[in-house]
Parts: sequence; structure tokens; C-alpha cells
Amino acid sequence: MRAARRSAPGRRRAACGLALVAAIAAAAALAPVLSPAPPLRQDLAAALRGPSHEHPLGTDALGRDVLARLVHGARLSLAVGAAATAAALAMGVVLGATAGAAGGLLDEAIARATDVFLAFPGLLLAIALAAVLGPSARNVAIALAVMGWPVYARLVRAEVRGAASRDDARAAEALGASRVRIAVRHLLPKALPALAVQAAFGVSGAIVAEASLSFLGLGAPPPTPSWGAMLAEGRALLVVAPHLAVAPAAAIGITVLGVQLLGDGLAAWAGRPALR
Amino acid sequence: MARLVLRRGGLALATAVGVLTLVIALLRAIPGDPVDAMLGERATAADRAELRSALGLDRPAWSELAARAAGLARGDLGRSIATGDPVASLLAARYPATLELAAAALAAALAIGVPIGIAAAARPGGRADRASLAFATFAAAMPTFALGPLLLLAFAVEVPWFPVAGRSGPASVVLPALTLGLGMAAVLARQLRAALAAALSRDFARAARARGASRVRLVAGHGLRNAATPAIAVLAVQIGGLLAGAVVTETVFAWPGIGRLLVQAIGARDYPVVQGCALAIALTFVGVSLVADLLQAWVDPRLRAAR
Amino acid sequence: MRPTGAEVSGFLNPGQRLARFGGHPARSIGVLLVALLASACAPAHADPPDFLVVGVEALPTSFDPRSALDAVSEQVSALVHRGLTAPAPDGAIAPDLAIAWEPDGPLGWRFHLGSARFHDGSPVTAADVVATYRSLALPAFQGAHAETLDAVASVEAEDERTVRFTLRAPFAPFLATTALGIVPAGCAETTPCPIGSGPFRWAGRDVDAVALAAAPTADPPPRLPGIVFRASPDGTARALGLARGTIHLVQNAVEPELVPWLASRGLEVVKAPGTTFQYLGFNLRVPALADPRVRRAIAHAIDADAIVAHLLDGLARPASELFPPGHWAHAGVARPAYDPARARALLAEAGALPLRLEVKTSTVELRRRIAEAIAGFLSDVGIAVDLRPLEWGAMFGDVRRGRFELVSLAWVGVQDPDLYFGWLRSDMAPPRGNNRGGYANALVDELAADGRRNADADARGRVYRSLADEVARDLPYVPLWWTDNVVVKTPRLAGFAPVATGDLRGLARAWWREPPAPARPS
Repeated sequence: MRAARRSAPGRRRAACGLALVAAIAAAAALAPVLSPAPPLRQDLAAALRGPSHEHPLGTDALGRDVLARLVHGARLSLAVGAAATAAALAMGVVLGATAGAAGGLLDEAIARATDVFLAFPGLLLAIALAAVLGPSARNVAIALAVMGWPVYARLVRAEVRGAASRDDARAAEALGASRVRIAVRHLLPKALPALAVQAAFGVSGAIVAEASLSFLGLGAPPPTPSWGAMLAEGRALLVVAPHLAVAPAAAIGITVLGVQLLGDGLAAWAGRPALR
Repeated sequence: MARLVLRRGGLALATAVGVLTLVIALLRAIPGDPVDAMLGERATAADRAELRSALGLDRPAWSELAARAAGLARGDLGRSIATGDPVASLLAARYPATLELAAAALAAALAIGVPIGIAAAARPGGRADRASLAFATFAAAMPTFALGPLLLLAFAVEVPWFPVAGRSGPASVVLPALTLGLGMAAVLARQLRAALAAALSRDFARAARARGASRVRLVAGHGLRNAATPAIAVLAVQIGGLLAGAVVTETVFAWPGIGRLLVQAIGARDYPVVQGCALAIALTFVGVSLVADLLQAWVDPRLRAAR
Repeated sequence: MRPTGAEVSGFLNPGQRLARFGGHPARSIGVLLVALLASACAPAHADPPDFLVVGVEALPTSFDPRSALDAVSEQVSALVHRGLTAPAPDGAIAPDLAIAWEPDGPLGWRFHLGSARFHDGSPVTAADVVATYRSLALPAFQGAHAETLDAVASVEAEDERTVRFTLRAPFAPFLATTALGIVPAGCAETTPCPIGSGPFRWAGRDVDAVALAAAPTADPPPRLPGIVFRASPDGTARALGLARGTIHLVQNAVEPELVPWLASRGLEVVKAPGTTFQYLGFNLRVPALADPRVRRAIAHAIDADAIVAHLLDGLARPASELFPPGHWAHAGVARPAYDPARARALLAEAGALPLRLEVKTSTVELRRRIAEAIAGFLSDVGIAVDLRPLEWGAMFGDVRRGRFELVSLAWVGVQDPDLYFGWLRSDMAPPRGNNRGGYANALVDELAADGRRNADADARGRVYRSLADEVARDLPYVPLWWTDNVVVKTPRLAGFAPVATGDLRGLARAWWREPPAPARPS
């Protein structure tokens, strides 16, 4: 058994990351309370104002409150990121465990499929899928799930294969337990720490990918507030209203930073190198 | 070596076929009829038949796959729905721009990442090491389309050092290359640091230090050579991310490359061009991976024998 | 599997392995990279030094005057091709290739050609005019000129310099249609036929640009050596191109917010009231939109004044009808006022709610923003809106095929109210005409036909006034605004001012006050 090394810097990082993520999640959940101005209410006369008392982060080209849109955009990003990662995790675990436990032709087939998917630049796949399915938050989540499952599948498959030859698994098999049962009860739990770490990075990747797709116009259609779409608008008006680009860029940066710190910290805490 | 080439080449080919399959399957996976979606209910039967055959939907998937593969070998990728130009010539016109961007980004990543990685490895736990960690975290947190506008704001609008968009000369590639390459630089720095630190702690290195070799020379000379192999591996994987990132970066900077063509074609529902671009990028990545594998084998002769 | 992070035991002796490159892998990779970079750095396009660079949103879709249907294609084509007549700045008809014309009986028109030459040197003769008009029936043009073909019974060359048109029936707007660019008889059967008789000739094409060079055969030849139309879908890029001097002139394609900023950078901003008419089109095949109360509600829901003032920076005039004041066909009808309460009442009366409509728009940033603002106004009165941004070409294609619900479009360079005929008559659905929304109103049908038949100016005026009244009552579309023509240009260019129609023919008489300074290194 490997002795778990719990390093203090790891704990610190994890705690820092957790704090950031929790803060953002709370902000997203409390969106309506934090910024009473509705994110969709346009007021053309108040367009492109800088930060002021009434609008702490200013207004966009249609006079909508930037802070409100930012906070509502957090909801979208976190929701899509979490949903996509959860779906990818589920798909990946099932496929990976099946491959690892079954062995033989099925294993080979799934392994090759994983290789091909991994060889394909992920964001490109997501873009192509989102383009085909049409712009909507749900389709983005689907596209990101398809982009993300191979990493987990590969991880789980390796764990399952490695652990299958160990004593406790062999013992269980000798006792007559079905291979599925062995996989689920004995092999999977060993993979959990690595999976958790990978999932943390998966969420941050999904958030960035969702923002990328929205930036390209493939995400939730306007006027839904989304960080990527806000950045696209900010970029168009960079010369006259730089605050429009800075706000969502900072939001994305901080969120991703938080999640990555969390993942890094978890990894160090659990004593494993982060598989970025 | 020959066996390695064959094996790697085979894998590349398999991946290419896989990509082709995916690209064809995507079009058929759309809910509803794509021809309807593109032409509307009032289209004439002749129009629909023409579009259907242009998209290859009038054949079973496997036959389409074979035809596409054959077309690909010939260099024929179909015609754009919007302009009627052959997709292959559209790609050929835009490809050099993407290559230029990717190469510049790679150069930027190396120029920034390698020195940071070396500095960090020279003194593990020291200031350079912590700085590199901070840099890596920051660069990873800032996606290209967030970093791009910020760089634009700082260096193209506030101070007019660089052009804000388009490809118009050597200075116009600086900001896009920096944007795209920064993330890669961060990963490279950390990987290099890890590999170097490991290499330096080995006996031969200690022996060399005992003989009086300076630390820097040690790191740069012995360490780098040994770290080259894993570095190349990392580079190859990162290039995939680079190509995908190029799509977004090209949009941010209005860079006339394949990525931008892809996004425009998506907006125009020009599926043949979308498929062509996706294929081009994916095959480039496969090609680059192949080259990286071969490069690794060349650099580290033990790999040749092992396979 | 590739080795990951495994270290190498023993170190590689460069002398043994890599003597050829004299160094270690890192250096040789570096060399490779530089080589790759150098080779990939194909010389970026360099615009010829004295050419005027005009920034446009999109490149012309057609290089043949007979298929130049969208605004940019028309503008560029007007520089390369000349027609029998040309639109004069105040809306009248000015001579171009034809120096004089007169009616010949109730159904005939005779045109007398001047002496002009095509770019290949051959003179423009009546045979060329005849060939051009006969070629309009070619299937390649897909019935885009159905009206002209319907109206004109025959075109004959009476001699080298005289052309006679015979109409099937009295067709009042006939003269306005004679601005069609004339191509040489030799290539009239081929499409595209880019040879024209205009002040500029086609000089080359790039992925993002189209170049025109001064044609020595023009009389008088233009003073500018050439023009490059450079497409950049990005408003900021165009504006910054202007600021740096890589673009010299942009007409109507600069983000309104950036115009004051550009003026502060030393560029010249010239404005002229324009005739470009922006409107919100309805697809009346959608059940909800077939109800005139719903259409009126939508008209009352949109605050065009606010959009003009804040999104367009005041660079437009809120519109009430197709023609602005000053044009002879301006009828003076009232605009639907901004009245959300009235809109809600009308919707309730029509029982239309809950209602979900789709607004199609192009991906051009400003258009998208305007469409979003309109969507915002509609949702304020209870109509849920789906916004669908599409590339311009795809969007226009959709509109022509009737695949839309609400769409914001514009008529550019409208001269004659006969436009109503092809736009609003019930038998004028695409590809025959422009009635993309399926509007059917017997009174409008009759009035449009009347206006076409009646040559008397007063009578026509009365007919079109009645038509405008009916349109304002029934609202087959919502009039939004008349866009000003705004030209932002380098002060070194002289002799060009925007005209109401928005065309660029004036560039033929423009010149450089001093040669353009080389653009700052970029």
C-alpha cells in the first residue's frame, strides 16, 4: 500500500482554490440578490457607460448592466462546465471500466477509439459538433462531454487493468464474484483520487471551452449572458469601451485559476503528480 | 528504424481514416435533414438533389467514405456551397497563414518557456521556480480569446506598436503568436523543469559537478540533451492544442488562416468547407505527431531499438 | 506509447551522434523552426503604393454587372462598367454611355451613344448594347432581370451608334433601369464577363481583396492609379486601418462609436443625408404576422429614435416610408410612434400572446447589435425572440428562399418608386421578384401597376402617395431609418464627397493631394 503523503503546500493550494471556487459558485447562486438589475434589460440611452454608482462595472452597448451579466454568465459557465464534466466522467468511467475489465477485442476497440479521440484536437471536435448541432447551451454541454470522455476512459482503463492482477481482485475472482462486481467494488475506488484530480482540471477546461465556443458564436445565442459572448462584444468595442473586455476576461481567469488551484492542491495532497 | 516508421505511419493513417469517418458521420448525425435545413421547403427538386450529392448524402456512409478517401488522395475536397470555389484551393490559400502563426507561436513558446524552465530547474524551490509556477498557473488560466483582447488593448490600442488585426507584415504576427504561444510556454517550462531537475539529480550529473563543471553549463549542456526527448513528446501533444487554439486566435486577430475560414464557413453553413478545414487541421496534427515521433527516435537512439 | 519523462542514463555525446548538425537536438530543432518560419512567411500582400485602399465589410459577390445584386457588388461594378445612363446625385437620370435619348412613340425609346471604348480597346457600339440586353435571358442570371425582360419587347441596333428599345406596355420606370452595365458583345454570352467601359478595370483578386486599376481607355482617365477594395469583417480592424493609414477610405462601414475617435486622429469625416432605407421585414406566411394588429404592435414596440441616437450615434434619420424628404416620391406619411403600451394592447386584442418569433441577422457586429436591440424592445412588450446571426451570404440566401420570420434589411441606392412593384406585389415572390415576405394586397398590386404604366409625373406622384398611405396603414414592413452616408477618409484624398445614393462613382474624379505616406510599419 502506498503511504499517502499529505503535503502542507498542497493543502494550502487546495484550500485557496476551494475558496475561490466556492466564492464564484456562491456569487452565481446568489445572482439575483447581488445585482438586482436584470441582465437582459436594455436601456439604450445608458449604453457604454463606464463604472458608476448605479452600474458598478458599467454598461454594455445596449445599456445592460455588466455586473449582472457577469454574474448570470457565471451560472451558465459553471452549470455547463459541471454538466459536461459529469457526463464525460460517466461516459469515460463506464467505457474505461468495461474496456479494462472485459479485455480482448472489446478492450482493443475501445482503446483505439480513445486513441483516435485523443489524437483529435479537442476544441476542434467541440466546434464541429456545436456547429452541427446548432447554437445552444445544451448542445455545448453535449459537445464538451464528447470532447472530454477519452481522458477519463484512458485513466480508468489503466487503473482497472493494473489492479486486476492484484491479490485482492484475484481473491475475489476466486471466490466467484463476477468481473463486473470486481471492477465496481474493488478496482474503481482505487482510481477515485486520480479521477477527482482529473475532473477538477476537466471542469476548468470545460469552462474555457464553453467560453471559447460562445466567443465564436456557437454557444448559447444572444441575449443570454455568457462570458465568451461578452468577450466577443468587448473585443469589437475595445477602442471605445475597454471595460467590456476586461470584466469577463478577469472573471474567466479567476474562475479557472480557482479550479486549477483546487486540482493542483488535491493532487499534491493525495500524493500524485497532476496529469495535466 | 524502418519498423518504427511503418508502425507510426500506420497509426497516423488509422487516425486519418478515423478523422475522415468522424467528419462524415457528423453531417449525418444532425437531427432532421441537413438539405432541408440549408435550402428550405421551397427549393426545387433539382436544387435539393444537387446539394444532396454535393454533400455526399445520396450514398451509404461507407461508399461516401471510400469516395472521400479517394478524393483526398487526389486532392479533391469538393466545392464550397457559398462561392463554388474548390475547397482545396480555399485551404491552400489560407494554409500558409496558419502555418506562419503556428510556427511563430511555437517559436514564442520556446523562446519564453525554455529559459524559464532552465532557470527554474537550476535552483529548485528558489525564486525562479516559484515565479515559473505562478507564470504557468496564470497562463493556463487565461484562455487565448481572453488574453488576446487584453494584449490588443495594451499593445495595439493604448500604444500603437502592433496592428490590431490582419496579416500585413512581420509585426502583425507578434501579438497573435504571443497569445497562442503563452499557454504552451507555461506547460513547456514546467515539463522542462521537471525533466531537468530529475536529470540533474542523477549520479553522472553529480559526478560532473564534483569535477567542477559550472551549474549553468551542467543544466544547459547535459540536462537539455537528456530532457529533449520528453520535451519533444510534450511539444507534439501541445501542437494539437496549438492548432485548435489557432481557430480562436485567428478570430480574435482576424488572421486569414484556416481557423478563421472554419468559423466563417460554420456561420455560412458551408459544410464542405467546414469538413475540409476540420480535415486539414486534424491531418496536420497527425502529421506533426508523426514527425515528432520520428524526431524523438532520431534524437534518442534507444527508442529505435526498443520498438 | 511514447516515453514520458523517463530520464536517459548516460548522456549523449554530441560528437558521436549529431556531428552533422554540430550541435544538440535543441539547436537543430531551432534551425528547423526558423526555416519553417521563414518559408511560411510568404511575402504578405503589399498594396501597390499609390492605389486607394477602400475598406469594405465584404467583397463583391459578383464581377459581372448583370448579376451584381447586392450593395457592394453594385458599387464596385459601377466603377468598372458603364450603362446607358447613370443615376444623378439628386435622383434624376444622367447620361453615361448614351449622350441623348428620346421617346419614339408611346412604346419606343431611342438612345444615341457617345464614343466610349471598352477596356480591351474596342469601341462601345449599339451591337454591344443589344447583346447585353439579350443576354439577360441567360439561365445563369436566374431571372434576376425578369422585370426588364417582361417590359422590353425588343432591342435593336439601328446603326452603329443608335439603339432602339420597344416596350410591351407603357413602363414609366424604364429609364431608371438603363443604368445596367454594358458588356462587349463578344463576351455577353459568358458569365462572368468582367470587361467594361468604366474608368477602372479589374486588376486582380486575392482572398481578402479586389484590385481595380485605372483604365487608359476611359475618357477622361481617372487621376487615381487604382483602387483596392479590402474586405475586413471586423469594424475595429477597419477603423484602426484608417487610423494607421493602411486603409484610406471607408464609406458606411465604420462603427458609429468610432467615428468621433477617428476624427480626433486627423481623419476627415464627411456626412451626407442618404437614401439607404433600413426596415424590418415580415414573413406574412407566419400565422401571427398575418394579423395586421400584430404587425402594428411590433411597429409601436420599437424605439427607432433611441436606436438611431445611441447605436448609430445620430448618423441616420428615423424613417416613415421608403423615400426621404427631398425625393419627389416622398409622401409625408406619419411614423408609427414608440408606444409600448399600445403595442401590448394590440397584442392582447389580437390574442397573439404567448408569441415567439425569430429575428435573422447577419454576423456583422453592428447589425447584430441592432437586431439584439430590436429583440430587446419586442421582449419588453411580451414577444419572446430567438436571435439567429448568420454570415451575410447565408442570411441573404435564406431570406430569398422565404426562410425567415423577422429580418432587418436595407434598400440601398433606390431611385424610383417602381421598386414597390417588385417588392410588394403578390405575384413577385423570389426568384422573379423581391416579395420575400409573401405580402398580398390587391390595392397595392393595382397601385404599383398603375405607377408603372403612367408616364405623367403628376399622376405618378399621386399614385405613389396613395401607395405609401396604404403601406403605412397595413405595414407589410416596419420602416426604421434612412442611413446617412458617412465617409471617413484620409485628408490627402481630394475630390470625393458622398452622394445620397451611396455609390462610389465619384472616385473616378478623385486625386491625391499628396502621395499617401507609406503606412506606418505594421
